[in-house]
Amino acid sequence: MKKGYLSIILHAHLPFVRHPEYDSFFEENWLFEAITECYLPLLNVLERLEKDRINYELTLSLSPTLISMLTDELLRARYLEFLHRQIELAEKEIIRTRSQPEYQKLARLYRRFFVKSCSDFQDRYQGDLLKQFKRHHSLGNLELITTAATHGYLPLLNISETAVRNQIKVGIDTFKTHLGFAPTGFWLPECGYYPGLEDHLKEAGIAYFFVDSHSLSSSDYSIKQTVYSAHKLNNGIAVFGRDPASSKQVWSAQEGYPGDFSYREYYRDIGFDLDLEYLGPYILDGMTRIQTGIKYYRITGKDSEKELYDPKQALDQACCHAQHFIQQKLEQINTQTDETAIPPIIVAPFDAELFGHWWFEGPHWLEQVLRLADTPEHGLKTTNCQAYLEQFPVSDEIIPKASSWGEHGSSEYWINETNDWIYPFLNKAQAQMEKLACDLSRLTVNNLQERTLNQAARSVLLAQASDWPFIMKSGTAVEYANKRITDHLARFNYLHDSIRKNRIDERYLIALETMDNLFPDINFRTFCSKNNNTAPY
Amino acid sequence: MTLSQSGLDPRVNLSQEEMLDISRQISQTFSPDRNENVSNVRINNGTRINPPNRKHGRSAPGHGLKLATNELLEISQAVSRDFAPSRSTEKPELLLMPVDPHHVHALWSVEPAQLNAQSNIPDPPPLTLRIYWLPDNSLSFNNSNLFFDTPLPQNKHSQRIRIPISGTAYSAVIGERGPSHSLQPVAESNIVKIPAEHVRSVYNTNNRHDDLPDYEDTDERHRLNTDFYPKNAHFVSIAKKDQNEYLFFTKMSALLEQNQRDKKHRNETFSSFSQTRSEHFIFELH
Repeated sequence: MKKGYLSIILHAHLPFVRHPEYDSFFEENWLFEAITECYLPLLNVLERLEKDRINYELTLSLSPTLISMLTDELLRARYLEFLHRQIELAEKEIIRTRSQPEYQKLARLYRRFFVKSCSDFQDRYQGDLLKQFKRHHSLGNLELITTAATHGYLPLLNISETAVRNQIKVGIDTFKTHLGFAPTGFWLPECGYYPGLEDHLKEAGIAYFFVDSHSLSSSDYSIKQTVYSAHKLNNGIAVFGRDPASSKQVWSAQEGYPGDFSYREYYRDIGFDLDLEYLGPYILDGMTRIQTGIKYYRITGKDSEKELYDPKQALDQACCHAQHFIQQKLEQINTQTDETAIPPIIVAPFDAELFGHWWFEGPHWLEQVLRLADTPEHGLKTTNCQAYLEQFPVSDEIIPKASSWGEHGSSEYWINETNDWIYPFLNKAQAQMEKLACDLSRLTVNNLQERTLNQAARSVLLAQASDWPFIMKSGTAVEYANKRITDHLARFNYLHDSIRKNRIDERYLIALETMDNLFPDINFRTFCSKNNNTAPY
Repeated sequence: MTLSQSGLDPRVNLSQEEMLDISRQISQTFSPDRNENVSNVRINNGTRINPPNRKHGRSAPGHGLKLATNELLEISQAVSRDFAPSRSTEKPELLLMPVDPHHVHALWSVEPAQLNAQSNIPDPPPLTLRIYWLPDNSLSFNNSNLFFDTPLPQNKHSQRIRIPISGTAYSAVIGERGPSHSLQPVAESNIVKIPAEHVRSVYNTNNRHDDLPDYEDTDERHRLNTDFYPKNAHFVSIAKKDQNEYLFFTKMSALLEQNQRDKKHRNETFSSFSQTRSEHFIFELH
């Protein structure tokens, strides 16, 4: 019997979207939908596995912005309001579909789903999802890691090493503040790597990170040689490559599992099907159609008329796909073990939001995979990368090449004609922040100045999020992405101006602190660069 | 328990004014945030959510004075309106960003008034970007560095540019070309490090240029030797320290040839290459 390991990593990240300056704000739904469809179902999966004493290992990367939002009291309160509306809409649907029993059955299912979400969030978890993830971590099944502070795309922030260092440092500090321990692993935003980045990770106490498979493969090194084992960089930090086969099976729109015709269709939503008058209270401004989360159809086929969603059929198919996935992993291991002395590891990272939001049945699939992997008869075992490294220390040294998991494997998706305008501004703000920090770090500043400088640092970090150039390129919510970047840069400009002119308006400062209230422990002094390798601003 | 049993000294008397002042201070500092008061939220079955505990006793930023929603919005809008980022018009700017092992992304901001003497002529020449190669990732450059020029399109502020060698650093200046390939620079860029193209074993990289192993092991080397080596035979026996210059030279030659052959790359590469050392080579596209 051949032996090998499977490490599944879920990367949970959303950009910081929180608007206390409005009574409600549509983009906050990104978080609310993810809690309902992804994070709560994931906790349900972990609890069922715990109850059934399944021996499994899973890794969850929690981004600092997501951590900040999950612990935010305003967003928690608004989430309950969101659920209230969802339940109300589902009840309205039960009435509307009373002459269509098959639809009504689904409407009832949605009502139960939203009521359970409400009950879980409020009663079982007391609004504190992080505490639950931490509990599963303490049970030994769930490895928790983190990523850069605002998910800044590090290869393009590398114009300033201080920017990269602070993205990593503030990210890890936030994780430690909320989870109570230091992560050993680090998720590079968008899998964006450049040679030398490992030095900053090492400095921050990180033991391992991940890259895309092509970062480790070349004409000299085949994927077989590199992706299915750990490697050491010359500073001792370990790197793991993403398994391309696992990515294809789960990610690919054409060949991947989520595209199966039995699964729930994401894009067909009552928000686009029913009368505006009926939908009014549940859509944007009562006029703009949006996803409501109530969807009655299955994918059915590429161009065919959509058929009604059958939850049982979909869950059965998720079980079949889980069996197929495990079988594929066993075959990969059997191929690998002939060529390497130590058992291979298959590293399968995914966006956590795929499971439940885009792929409604994803959490069920994941649960079945973890159950099936806990079968002593075959040689496959789930693990996390830290445990693997402890069991099988690596000796070979390698320098991966620069890479990302984006289009063409490079930085192209985050710098192109749709979004390149942001970089001179980001670079200028970073350089100005560094100069401010260096000018003032050794001087005594009063409390108001200290708060202003720290808020300026928050504004710079928020402007650096990889989400905004990504959205500009994908064309999904471009106006909002543009606004967020320019707002954060404007806030930085204002704070910079206030400090330089020594004219701080505390009312304005409080407003900015209230709106961008993450990273409470940030220290502007860490923005003083170790050298002056910054752009000439 | 009565007050007298609490251990507090009831003999400390506070005036009405003092008590009012303390009361106000406590109200101002510790009153619940309207936005954060989750106990106000009721769900469908009428139950309440318990207010989550504050973690670690830390105050989030924004504590203290509370602002109403409309006040927050007003301030947010005022800051966005009055401090929106804008391109600098005070001085020209130039930024290089790494895209992949073969490309940099150049972004510039140069106003006509910021150009030199030729700016008022009717048909000014296009701006030129001069990209200097910084071998060994050196942090500065001078006129002895190898460089190549690329004309920049008018009415644009950015351009993707193909570079000859990966795993090294570049810097650039922007300006107007003068006679004999001279350049009047108006802005200088940052230094950009371009990653290597291939995975490397750390045991094989001592004292070797990042790009050399790739170059030596590919068909391109053979093609370059065949096409360019004979014409420039004096490069064959150059000293080891100049091997990188030879590589740069041959790579640039190959790119020029590709550019001439394949028009689809014309917008991402360069039109001329020159080297200002003891020997002077100039390639021009037509």
